[in-house]
Amino acid sequence: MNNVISCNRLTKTYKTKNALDGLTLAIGENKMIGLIGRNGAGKTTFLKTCAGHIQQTSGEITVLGGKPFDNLDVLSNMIFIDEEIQYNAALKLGDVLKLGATYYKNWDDAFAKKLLKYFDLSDKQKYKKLSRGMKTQFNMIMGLSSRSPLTLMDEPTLGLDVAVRKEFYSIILKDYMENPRTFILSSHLMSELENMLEEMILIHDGKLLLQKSVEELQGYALLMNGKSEVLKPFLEKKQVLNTESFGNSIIAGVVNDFNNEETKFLEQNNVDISNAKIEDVYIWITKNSKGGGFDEFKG
Amino acid sequence: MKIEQDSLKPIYVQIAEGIEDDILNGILTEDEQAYSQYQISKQFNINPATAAKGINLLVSEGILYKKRGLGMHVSVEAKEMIQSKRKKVFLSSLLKELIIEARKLDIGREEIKKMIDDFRGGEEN
Repeated sequence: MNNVISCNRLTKTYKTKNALDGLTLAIGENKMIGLIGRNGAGKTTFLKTCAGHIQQTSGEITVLGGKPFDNLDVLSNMIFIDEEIQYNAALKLGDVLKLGATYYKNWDDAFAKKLLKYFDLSDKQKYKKLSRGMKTQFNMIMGLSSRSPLTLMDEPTLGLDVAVRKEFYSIILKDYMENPRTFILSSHLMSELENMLEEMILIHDGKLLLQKSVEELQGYALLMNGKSEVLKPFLEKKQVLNTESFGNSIIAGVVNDFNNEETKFLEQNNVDISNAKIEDVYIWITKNSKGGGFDEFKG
Repeated sequence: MKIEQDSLKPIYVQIAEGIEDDILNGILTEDEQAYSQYQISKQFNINPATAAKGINLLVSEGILYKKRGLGMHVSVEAKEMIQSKRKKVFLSSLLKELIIEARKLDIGREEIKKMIDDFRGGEEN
């Protein structure tokens, strides 16, 4: 399979801080990818570098077979959607759609008009006058209608209520199935959309921390809840990501390398076991990394 | 069919079991068309690759088969296959859970037997 994005020791330095610090990863064709990381982890810098908005300080990046910075061949086949998008104040939504049609190679005008109508927007409205939620909706319409082989969306549902978010998730998914292409979605509401994704990329301190299939991540760690006297000695041999005490019991997040015998033992001793949420796993491992040495968590 | 987010079972396994349940309950019948990857993906907002994995699990067990140009269909022996497979699971895992829970609640062997009889009696009335 071809890689849509590959980067090798990608580094971006702002003054003295490395926003990206030797990021190395590859993203395959026609995948739906989630990008997660804490504030300041380097997500947006990574997306902007992919989109050719900024140039790296060192390292290499290839997007759709070329270098993205200042390269129209690459840029007309990809779209980057974020909340900072500005258009000329005089432009109406219809004008912006016309611009999209001239700029993006795979633009689908009929689809754009259909979505505009569906979300009760009019081509006569000015972008500048839209509310935050409406801007987000319009940006999403641009992102989908471009039908770009690479579609990058940074916080695509900002300011949308849960009903509209869900509508958008199903529209994205339906359109992705009918027109397979690569999506990278970065969101703080990852648990809402994790089942839509094939793979997740976790960035921390400008580096790649984890890149795994959602299926693997959903079974990556277990949440155990049981008596301290049972659980504590048992966990000494395990890779514990997080523990909380609660009366005489502890709740522990543990990397899932358990065999049947171990689970059986725990069940017999009334330990409740469930899958840890991906969000929680990611909070635990980024918290632990503060003290250094998070290499053991790399996949 | 439903998806439970905090289940220990991977989503694709839940998909496969959901289809199996629909076959057992007669919602899907033998030799009839089963759900497509796209239908499942749309219905539950899940990645189509995950839906395909669930379907393929049943294809590999012979419970579903692909009819040329007509999509996935339920095999003729599907119901029997699922029943015999589930019986094994029932014995090895459901029964185990029941025993563990009974131990927690301090329910004895005789009491469980009586509960099963009562439950059955209630069902027949």
